[in-house]
Amino acid sequence: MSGPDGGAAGGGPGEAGNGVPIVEIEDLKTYFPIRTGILRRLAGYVRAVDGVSFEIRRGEVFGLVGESGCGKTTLGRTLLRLQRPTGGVARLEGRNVLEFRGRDLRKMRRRMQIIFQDPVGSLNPRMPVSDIIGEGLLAQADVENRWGERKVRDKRVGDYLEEVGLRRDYARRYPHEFSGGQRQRIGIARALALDPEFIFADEPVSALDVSIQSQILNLLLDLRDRHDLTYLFVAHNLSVIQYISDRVGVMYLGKLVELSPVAELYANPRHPYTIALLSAVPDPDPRVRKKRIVLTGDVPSPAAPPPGCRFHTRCWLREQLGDPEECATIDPPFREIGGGHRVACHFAERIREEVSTAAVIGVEEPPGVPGGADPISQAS
Amino acid sequence: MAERTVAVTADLTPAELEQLLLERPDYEVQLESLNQWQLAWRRFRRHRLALAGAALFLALVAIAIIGPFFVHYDYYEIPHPDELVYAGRPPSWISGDWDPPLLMGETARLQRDILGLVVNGARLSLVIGVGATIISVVIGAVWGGVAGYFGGWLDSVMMRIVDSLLTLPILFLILVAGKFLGRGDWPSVMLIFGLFGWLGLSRLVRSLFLSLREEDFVDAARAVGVSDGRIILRHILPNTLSPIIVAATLSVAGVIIGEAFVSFLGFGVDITQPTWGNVLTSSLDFLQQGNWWWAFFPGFAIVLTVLGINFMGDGLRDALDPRARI
Amino acid sequence: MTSVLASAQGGTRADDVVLDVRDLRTYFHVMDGTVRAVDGVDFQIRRSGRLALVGESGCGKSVTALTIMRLIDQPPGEIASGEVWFDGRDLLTLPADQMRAVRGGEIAMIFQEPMTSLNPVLTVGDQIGEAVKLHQHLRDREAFEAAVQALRDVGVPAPERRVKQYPHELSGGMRQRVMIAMALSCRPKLLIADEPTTALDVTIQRQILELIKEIQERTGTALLLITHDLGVVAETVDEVVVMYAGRIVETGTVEEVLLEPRHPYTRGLLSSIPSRGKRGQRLSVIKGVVPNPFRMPPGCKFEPRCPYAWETSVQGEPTCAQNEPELLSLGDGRASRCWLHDPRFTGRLRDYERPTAGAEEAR
Repeated sequence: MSGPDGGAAGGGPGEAGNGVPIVEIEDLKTYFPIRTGILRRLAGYVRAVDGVSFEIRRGEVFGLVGESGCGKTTLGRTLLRLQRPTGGVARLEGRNVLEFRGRDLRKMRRRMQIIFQDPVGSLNPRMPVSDIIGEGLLAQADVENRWGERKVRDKRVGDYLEEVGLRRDYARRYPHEFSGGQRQRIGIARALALDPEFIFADEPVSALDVSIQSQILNLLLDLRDRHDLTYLFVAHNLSVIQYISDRVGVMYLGKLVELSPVAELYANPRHPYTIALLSAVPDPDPRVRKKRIVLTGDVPSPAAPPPGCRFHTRCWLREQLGDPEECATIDPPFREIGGGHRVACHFAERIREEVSTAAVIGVEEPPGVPGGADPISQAS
Repeated sequence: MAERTVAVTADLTPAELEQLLLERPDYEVQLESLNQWQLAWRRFRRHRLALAGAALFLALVAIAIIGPFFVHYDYYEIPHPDELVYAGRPPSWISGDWDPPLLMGETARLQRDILGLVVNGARLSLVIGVGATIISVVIGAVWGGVAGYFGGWLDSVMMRIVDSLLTLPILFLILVAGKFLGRGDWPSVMLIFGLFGWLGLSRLVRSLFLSLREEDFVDAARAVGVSDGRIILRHILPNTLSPIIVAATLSVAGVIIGEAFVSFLGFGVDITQPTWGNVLTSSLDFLQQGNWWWAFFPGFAIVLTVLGINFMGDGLRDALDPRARI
Repeated sequence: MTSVLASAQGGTRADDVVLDVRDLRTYFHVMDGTVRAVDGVDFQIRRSGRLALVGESGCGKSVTALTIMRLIDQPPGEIASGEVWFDGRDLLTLPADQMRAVRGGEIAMIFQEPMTSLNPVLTVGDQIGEAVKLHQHLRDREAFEAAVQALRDVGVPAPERRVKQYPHELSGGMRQRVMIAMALSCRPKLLIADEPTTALDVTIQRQILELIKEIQERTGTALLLITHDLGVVAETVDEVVVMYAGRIVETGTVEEVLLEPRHPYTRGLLSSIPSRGKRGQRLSVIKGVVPNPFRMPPGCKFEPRCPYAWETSVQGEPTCAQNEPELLSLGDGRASRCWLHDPRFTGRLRDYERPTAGAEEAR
């Protein structure tokens, strides 16, 4: 994990794990058809994920942030083959998972798992916990693991309940008997019981109260260390992402607009949307007075994304630069600007000179607090 | 330090236990769990009406099975309409005429207690009503489940088939089918009602599947590699039980009455075979002469069956829902 | 308890206070027993003041607001005791028709989910106009213009067009603006905002927070904000009331409560928030869960989860597990419901205060 000063230097990528990619995504697209009328005529597509490329390294927590409808959840679901892809490639250690069928697909499911946001809806109300966790074992049973045998399966269910901090004797109880935090742990045990390498955590703490959130975050990090897991961690809460991620991708309207090691991203954001997003987060420290960038208007519909840069309709930087032509006409390439930092903005380099980032998201240093309470102030 | 308290209990939920152990870390509690049938029974027996309904229904079944051995009458058949010439006599406990004693009144001409027909009728009526319902529930649940789960063109095709069948006059179809499948024997009548009775249910099940398949727990099952068939049967179908049970209880009543109707038209079970519907039907000719008992007792049997099944269904619905309170 | 807070408010004259809630208790009688959702809550809001009720789900903050508005269904609800003084009247004893005039007129409320609080079959203009007509006795034409103006005030672009649209044609942020426009159209003296931004995305949340602050400052309406988000609290209000299990556990100014939390619960809550500074360390955690409302601990409601709770061996001394502490005044409007702040336990308080410094550095 990167040191706290990694960002200030503007260079050192927040290296995690050994840097070997476990998942590589290339130009992934997931469109949803829009059908209208009685004849269900095809009226267009919602471009939920529209050409996204990045890689996730073994052992890291890759955070994916963005607002609702930006496609972050669809991306993860497509990767896990819960959603039909429209195009692109997603490789798990070199093999394209989007082409797997039958046996291969089932084997892949053992290696890639998911944790859901909603601790109520993700557990079948008619199944005892032993079945909720055991169904996966049964589906993946073979002669080697002997998960087809009730005894073996039940033992493993108990082991994994304990692994996530629950008791063995909960196994035959039904979901409604559990508290929210306990239910989320059951969901984690279900994913973990198959012994996966990669877990897509889809807003795993968003539905939980603050005091329960921290328990689950601690658990997720402990499990990563104990089981050598790699996470794709989707959240809309930027503080959670900042705490847990090694690298972060920012999505807007189906596209990645910025990707960077976490410290670098929060210290030195280069996309005007990222900057606006970071500045919008309310800080629980009342001494922190961020200069806010209040984005005007709403996110455009992903069924009809704006031409050129998708963010240009709400972009404050474009306004400051005097509405340059290319923003509205040319889709900016997702390009490397050094230190593992990628950004899709024509004017990423000019963010520093045009608008001092510090001035935009800068804070008044709280007096007498070493290091400051706010990470942004720390870095700028 | 407090003394260690050891308890074994099935009455705490994990959520309560979590809290209890927080407040009393010195407690040592072993959580017991009842199996799902014990749980279901616990929930069922709290329902007074359901218990009464179940008792009623079981009593009727018992009467249907063993009743004919005790009610010794020569005639297990309804007299043919041509043989009916007079209305018979009311029950002895109304008329005061105890020679011979008539519990439910006399059938026309044959001078036999209608009790024999009602008791014998229970067999066929219950078997046809319950059997046809089971057939239609199975077909309807699978058809609707497959359509709703897979969606897309398959759903469109399957549901268009249901829609077009629904536009046909079902009763007419039943009559025609009755003609071809052989008249008069109860299995074919049961089969016909079963084969045409699932249409509405399949639409209900489909709509439930359409919303349930979007639930996270279905994705969770797919994500661990559970097959589609198992997801439909083991993961989604149990969540549609409540409305299916309601539909099924209504269906049993519907079939018993429907069977009476087609039999009356001469297309169902042979009119001389005692089903409640047939007994009811045969009474119609003499209703004007005031032989109310002939219609009343088989009708009352139908009402009791329907009530019993409905109450029982209510309790069953709760009993099979793990979320219901114990 | 009333006196604690009232005296804490110091020299404020009675007519400085727009809302004075005293010993409010709201119970719900349900099958399993009685839930004491709000159990003895006192606070005041000054004219043009901004106060937040903070706590996790189920702490009673929303029920408090609904009780103030008399929007509790009775039964199963019961307002077991209390007074809600608003502008010289006790809202809890006001006749129903007068209460209706207060509701939406002098006190306005906005909710978390703007879609369900708007009527889907009426246009936005109709709904704002309705409120205006009811409370300000305007004619149709005037009401329509008031609606357009109200939308313009909350920054809705092209209000003449929007006013004729239906709620489903608007985005979430736009709907919340419409809700705020409706709420403010009658110039309320008090605005109650129940989790107004929880359902919104962060950039839209920012827009709405800025709007609420701007309007609050412009119109001078008092604000009662209900939220679980301490970040929103820090930026929006001046005073904070922290609730836990139906009770107030801590009060003070926003700086005091968020920077120097006195109650162990507030402290635990603050330190469990993840942030960059805590990377690589485990988050500190409040163990366990909020108590079951049917099985409340006999003493301090936070005691089972409290890392500072102690058992006593001294006869007659109150214990965390057995005796519930009062809301103890700490002077200057600060108060904490914790035995640590009882004069008998100053020694323990010193031990408690020590790790604060450490925690502060860790931040």
